[in-house]
Amino acid sequence: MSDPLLVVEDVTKRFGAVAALDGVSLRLARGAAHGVVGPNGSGKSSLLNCVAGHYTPSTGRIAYRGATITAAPVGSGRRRGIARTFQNLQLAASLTLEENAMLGPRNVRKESARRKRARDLLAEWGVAGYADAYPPTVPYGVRKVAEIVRALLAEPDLLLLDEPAAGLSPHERADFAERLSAFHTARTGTAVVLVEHDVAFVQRICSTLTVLDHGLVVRTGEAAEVMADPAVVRSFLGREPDDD
Amino acid sequence: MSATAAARRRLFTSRTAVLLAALALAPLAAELGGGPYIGYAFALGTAFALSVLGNNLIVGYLGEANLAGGAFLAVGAYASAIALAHGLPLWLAGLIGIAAGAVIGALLSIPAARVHGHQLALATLGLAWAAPDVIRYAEAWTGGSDGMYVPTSGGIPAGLGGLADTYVVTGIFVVCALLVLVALRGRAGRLLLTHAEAGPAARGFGVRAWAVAMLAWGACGALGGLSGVLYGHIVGYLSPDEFTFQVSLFIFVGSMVGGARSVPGAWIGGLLAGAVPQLLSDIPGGGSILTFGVVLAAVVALARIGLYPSLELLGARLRPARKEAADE
Repeated sequence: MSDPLLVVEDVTKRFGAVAALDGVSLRLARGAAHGVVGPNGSGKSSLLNCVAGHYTPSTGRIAYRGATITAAPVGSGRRRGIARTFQNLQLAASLTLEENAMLGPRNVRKESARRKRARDLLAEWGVAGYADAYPPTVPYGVRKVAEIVRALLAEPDLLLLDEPAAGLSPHERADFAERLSAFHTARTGTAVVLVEHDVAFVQRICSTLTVLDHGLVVRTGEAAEVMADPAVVRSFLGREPDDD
Repeated sequence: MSATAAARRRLFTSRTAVLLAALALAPLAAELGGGPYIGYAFALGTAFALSVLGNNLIVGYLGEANLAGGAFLAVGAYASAIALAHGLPLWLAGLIGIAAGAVIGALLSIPAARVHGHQLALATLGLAWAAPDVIRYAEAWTGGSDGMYVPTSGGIPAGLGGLADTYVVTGIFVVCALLVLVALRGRAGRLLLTHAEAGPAARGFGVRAWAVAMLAWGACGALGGLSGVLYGHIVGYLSPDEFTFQVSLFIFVGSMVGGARSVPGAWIGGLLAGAVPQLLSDIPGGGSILTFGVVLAAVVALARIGLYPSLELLGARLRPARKEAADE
């Protein structure tokens, strides 16, 4: 891979005696879509938090566009073109979805322009009818969309999605996967790191995968190959694949 | 656009007009209906409303407890009085009072960016507690325990009260309330609320927590300082005994009772914090505090989200009923 957008090199993140990440490495090309899967507590969100700057790795190195960002302040990610969503939704309850989304746009000073961009993208994602509603009053799936819209408004080069399909119905998941896939096809310059439990969902968007378990990389590579690996199946099922 | 969101975005509505009319008539009604003492208490309450307005930025928007309102009030009152005593004009002395409050507020934002909840409440409590002793200690400037008279300036005598003074104080409150409303309905309000309610997202999208805290605490201090400038002018005499912890508590209670996110609620809270204790002070013994406590308990029990928001909610509930009655 020449000139990768993101390089995660032997990153460890410890919380006291617990290693949430233990020597994790990852390389991501510009415009690529990479899935990170694994059971609960495997370190998926910790990895995203390290890349986004919410956590500082205990050891290891993270580079973005060739520059080391291992200990960069969290807010600097947006300036560099990194945007993210959150596993536990982070929308201000006292602001409408449109106002929440208005946090997204970069380098847009005019309020009316910010508002228009937010409104247009909410409409593009099919939730224009909820633009003036407050997060606690709208369906969960709509809140998830609002978070993605806010992140997309930052026009990121690297989009970090933390369990965007969690809590959605099968129908909403399918719709979501289709929209994300269409977005990624249309915006070829934006790389995506997608953290999810639902492997089928991830495979609809990402061609490569990393499987984490207890903070360790079990396997990384092409999605089909990774999912055929008995060690991966074992880490998901907790038993040998041919036990039954 | 939903009616609620649209109404929240509009600044000048029929309700704003009613509130402005009430503010325009209230000083006259207080003076004519209750006499000069009621007018004096009204002016004092409206001056306190500026402190409550500032306190609302912290309590209602940052979601923290501020028990230093009395300290900001004291800083503004003494800074402007000392400036007047040194022969500076009233407008400049007023600006110095506001700036002094803003500086103390901004300084308080430094620990406020690191500690939260009850720890921050205790830090602000410490400031409120220390204020009277600091005033006594700085005797050469403040007159110590003996206090100091607020000098007259530019022919405007301090401590006179009266209808004109009440209108000046009310006018200043209206201007500040509109400024705060405009700021909160724009980008500053959005950043404050995102910082308070979705902190990780705010940080992730480049909102600097320290800048938001400094803005809110600085504005709170500035409004508290202005409140103190007006307080000094209305009362005409400053003493450390006037700026005890109880004053900070009254301002905090004013926020909670009026409605911590409500600008009109700040006025109601200010009247409660500044005027009601004055009016109740004629009750002998400990009766005034007891009565104040009973009134507060009743208000909190009946209007948990604050008096003004409760009135708004009641109005919203009655409106469809009235419409249905009209349709029939």
